Amino acid sequence: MEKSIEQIWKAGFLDSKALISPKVNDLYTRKSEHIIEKFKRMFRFNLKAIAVGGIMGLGGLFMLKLPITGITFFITLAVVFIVNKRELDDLEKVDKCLSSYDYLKSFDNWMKDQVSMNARMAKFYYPFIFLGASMGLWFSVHGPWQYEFLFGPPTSDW
Amino acid sequence: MGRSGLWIISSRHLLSSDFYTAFILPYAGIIIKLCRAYTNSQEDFEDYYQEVCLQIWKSRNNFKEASAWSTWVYRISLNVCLTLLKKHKRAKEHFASDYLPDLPAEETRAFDDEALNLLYQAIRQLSEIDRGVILLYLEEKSYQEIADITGTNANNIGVRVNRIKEKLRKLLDGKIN
Repeated sequence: MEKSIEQIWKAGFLDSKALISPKVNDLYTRKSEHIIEKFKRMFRFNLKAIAVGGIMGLGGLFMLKLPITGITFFITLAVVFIVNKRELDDLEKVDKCLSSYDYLKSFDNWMKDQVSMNARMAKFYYPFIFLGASMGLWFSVHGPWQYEFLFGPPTSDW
Repeated sequence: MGRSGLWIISSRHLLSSDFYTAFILPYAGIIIKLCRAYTNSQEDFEDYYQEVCLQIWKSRNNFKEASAWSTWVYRISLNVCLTLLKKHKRAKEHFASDYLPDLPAEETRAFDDEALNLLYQAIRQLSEIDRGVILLYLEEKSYQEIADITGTNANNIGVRVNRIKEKLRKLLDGKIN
């Protein structure tokens, strides 16, 4: 009597050797690459957003007749862009042929460098942006109006 | 503190709980069965298996608890096998030489059971989707589950299964006692 395909299937897989899973090579390395690739994509996207934001901010603030603020804003973002672009170039140099652990370790070192570099820069660019915004308002063509809008009318003490 | 950044990556994604052991290995059986149906050689089979594991890991965050994890694993496995098969076919077409004879596909004697090898040979002659459908049917999945996994209508699955079984019977006719 001919066996049905269901019977063949069941009988064939009764043997435990039939379902030995193959060794998964390099899965962890590929997982690590995947994580870092995802991070790189995000980092690249942020850099593009900084570049676009800087240019649009410059144009927008010029249109609002606040050129000093616009230029300050643009210069700050340009510096952030250039520094972080260099950081990204360094990240691209991390050797993918390393073991998963070494690859992640290199990534970790890069991350620490990058965070400390941006933390140091933040000490300068936040005050710089604040200064740029204040000076921009002060020297803008509508200076008195905007100044009054933000800080109230000048008092006689002035 | 020295390795804090590395530890975050490690514990969340890699080393602390072994994703492969916990979430893939329990379903290795069906992955193996599916990959075998779409490959003709041991090397291809291992490549497919590895790619399926990687894709399951990559898309783990897209898993919605509306379906069972096993259904999710089957769906990804099937999609990966179909995608890889398409890629291989395209590559073959792209690099096909007019001067080389069309070599027959390498036959796999993957299992000790000769009847099972013959059944697999017959399954490999089916269309790509039919292979997935019959494997899921043989794994005793319900028509609804098969439809969910293959992205088709449950009403058609019964008819389709009968047609596939008939085809397989013809292909195996007289070969297995």
